[in-house]
Amino acid sequence: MEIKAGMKISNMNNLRTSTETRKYGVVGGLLFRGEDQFLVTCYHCVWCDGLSWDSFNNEQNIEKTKVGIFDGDWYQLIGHIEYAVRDEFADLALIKIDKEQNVEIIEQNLLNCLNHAKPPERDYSDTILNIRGVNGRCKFGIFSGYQNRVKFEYEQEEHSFSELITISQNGIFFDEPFAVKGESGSFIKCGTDEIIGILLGADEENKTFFALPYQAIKNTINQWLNQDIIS
Amino acid sequence: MFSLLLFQNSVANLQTADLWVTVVVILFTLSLIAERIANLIKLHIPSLREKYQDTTREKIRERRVIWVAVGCGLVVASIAKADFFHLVNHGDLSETYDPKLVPGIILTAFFISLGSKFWHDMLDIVMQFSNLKKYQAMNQYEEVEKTKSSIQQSNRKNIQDIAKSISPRLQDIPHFNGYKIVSYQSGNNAIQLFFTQLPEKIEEELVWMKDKMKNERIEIEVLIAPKNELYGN
Repeated sequence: MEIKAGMKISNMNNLRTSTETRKYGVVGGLLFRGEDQFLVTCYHCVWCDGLSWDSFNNEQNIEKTKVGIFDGDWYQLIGHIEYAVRDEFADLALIKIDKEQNVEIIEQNLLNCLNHAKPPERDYSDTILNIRGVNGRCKFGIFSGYQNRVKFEYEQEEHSFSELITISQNGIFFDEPFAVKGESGSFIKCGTDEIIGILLGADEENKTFFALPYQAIKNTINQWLNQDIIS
Repeated sequence: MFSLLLFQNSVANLQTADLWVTVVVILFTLSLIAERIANLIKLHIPSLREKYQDTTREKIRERRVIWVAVGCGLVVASIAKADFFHLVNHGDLSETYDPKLVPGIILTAFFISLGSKFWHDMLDIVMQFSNLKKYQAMNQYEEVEKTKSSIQQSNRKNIQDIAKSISPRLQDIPHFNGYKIVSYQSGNNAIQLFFTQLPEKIEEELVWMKDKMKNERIEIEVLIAPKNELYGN
């Protein structure tokens, strides 16, 4: 199977009666370290009952960490959650691709590669951002600043994030929403193709979308991999 | 403030430079027409067309040519109602004939009889001057914008510090759902407070916050954001 940004990703233990009720997000992009390849998405997209929100441990819960990608017909097992965290800075998971699973990673196809990400260097006021949502469709929104202490409900439990990027609906040019449910984990890029964050959620009533900022993603991943793998 | 005055001054200079470009373009055009007519006359009168070996006669011929050029300039300036004073003051030609225009028209005639080459060179000089002024004005505009932006950024930094200091108390307010610092184009900054629903004692909290930031020009906006949803489906 060939993996592309925007494909649905889910925990294989979220056994439900049909794929429609399965909890899923999307593949944001790729990260590699030596021969290891990781897919990047949000933790809540690949979470399942039995995994801890606050202290993820893949050794204790090896069976619960299996992750699959929807190939158009069903979810195909591609690997397992290697690292995951949900703290005040990030809600992030790295899915390590199992080599036995016959998964084809073509870097050029998976356009969003964190290894080559550039840090945002300027103020993005009013910049039009784009997202590669479900099935790789590109949609547009407008950067509208940062919001602090934003709360989300995780399975009846409230969790607040220290700082999130806020994106408003680009109503001038496009009527369709910047993001829809199921697109958590998508990378958000600016006009110059720099990755500035990962979609997390939205305040649907005010048409405001929230994303994890690049800095938080970078700090979390570099800490996991014990090296400055992201510049 | 000083840089703003400087900027206004440079905008005025820029407008003056643009006026001179217009004046020179008009004079250049009129001189082209007058020169063409003068050439036609010269070609049809042998005493003006043919040069003399004798210096005295040649000087007389040259004087006559100049007078023909001035005459043609006068005709062209009269037809175009090109009063020099009106041109310099308004940057365009007069709309009606008026005896008051006569001195100005005569002056214009003398100017356009200087020839199109002269006015072409003059146009080059004025254009260079105008571009230089534009460049200077742009530089000063950028400087003013930079100053404005750095003031706004320093204010924003103050607000961020204030927001951080009041953040623990904000989180204790029921239904609190985050805050955002926004900068408006007017230069004002505001803290937007989000609540899932309006808390009962919000007025007291606002008074406390206003008290905390009494030395700053910061607005507080209370907004209702009912529920944030994760987008993992």
